[in-house]
Amino acid sequence: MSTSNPDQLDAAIDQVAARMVAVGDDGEMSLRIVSALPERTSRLRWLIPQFAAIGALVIAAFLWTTRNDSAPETAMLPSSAGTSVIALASPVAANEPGTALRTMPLERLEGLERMEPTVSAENVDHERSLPAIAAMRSLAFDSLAPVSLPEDAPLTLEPLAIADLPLTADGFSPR
Amino acid sequence: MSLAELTLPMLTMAAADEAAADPEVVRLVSLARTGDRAAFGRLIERHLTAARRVALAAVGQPSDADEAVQEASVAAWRRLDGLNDPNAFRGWFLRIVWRKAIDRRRSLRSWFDRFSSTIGDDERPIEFAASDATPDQILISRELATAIAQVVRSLPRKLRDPFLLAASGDHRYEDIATMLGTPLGTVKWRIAEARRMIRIKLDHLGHGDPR
Repeated sequence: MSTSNPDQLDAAIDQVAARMVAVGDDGEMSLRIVSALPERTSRLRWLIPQFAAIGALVIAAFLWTTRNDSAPETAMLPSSAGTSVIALASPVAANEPGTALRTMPLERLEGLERMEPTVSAENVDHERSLPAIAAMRSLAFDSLAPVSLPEDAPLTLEPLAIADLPLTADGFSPR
Repeated sequence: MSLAELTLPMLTMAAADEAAADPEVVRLVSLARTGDRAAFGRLIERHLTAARRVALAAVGQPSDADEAVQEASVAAWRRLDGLNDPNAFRGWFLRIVWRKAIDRRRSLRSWFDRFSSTIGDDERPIEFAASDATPDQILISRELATAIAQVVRSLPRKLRDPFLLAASGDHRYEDIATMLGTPLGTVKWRIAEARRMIRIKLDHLGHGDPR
């Protein structure tokens, strides 16, 4: 059949296209779908192991970053051959009552304490102070008489050579 | 199928938001989220026909379409917590159906390509019973119907998919655009282009005269 009317041809195309996607009634399909549904698990249930792993990592990272603050006695330097850094610092801190043992960066302590301990007569650091300078020995000459001079090494004095001093105005700086 | 869908399916665009303000849908979704299978079954049943048409538009065979709908239903059941707005269940579910059907179509194509089958994936005969013709319908011959069906099947998939989805009468152009992941203007152009190509090919076959 030849359809000369364009509107009729369009309608025929629509009918055939609609028939191509037409479905018959299947009243039991929804029942089949429901019966085939698996056990529904919570959306968060499969995330529990992942949350647990993340939590363990966070706790480990926290313990790692705060291990010096929580247990300073056990902190060891590998190059110190068993010598505790804190053990070396402790006598110094004990001798300086006003000095806190620094375990944190200075930038974080600037607002809390002084950069250097106050120097007073009571807390002078004798261990760090320089040794006392020995008193100067006085110059002692027995005698300046010619007879007291050694004979094998006669004293000779070179003549002093004094250059002419520039006493002109050009020789002085303007200042 | 209703008479209106048969006569002017392109103009019988069902409102996609027909369940937009339906408190029953919200209630069923809430029940289904708690694991109520019967509630989920009632939800699926509301949109089962539209879902089967969507799948049929993609795969062409009713048996494959039903299997795609079944897979999509299981997927929707598992992902129900991901549905933010219960009122949007219809569009959300139909998009899952479309994706499952497309996956099935790709696997079917690879299977047919592998075994060099001469049977196409959607060569379903279009049956027109005599009782289908009513005074309000355009009477078309079996020969013309077969020719139209063949021409529609020969369309490129980019044109055929939106054309058949629109022909189902279940979706607005906006819904088709969302389902296909294509801009609205592109969908409209493709539907119009599909119709133009059908008319040209029918003219070559001796049916009608294209405008």
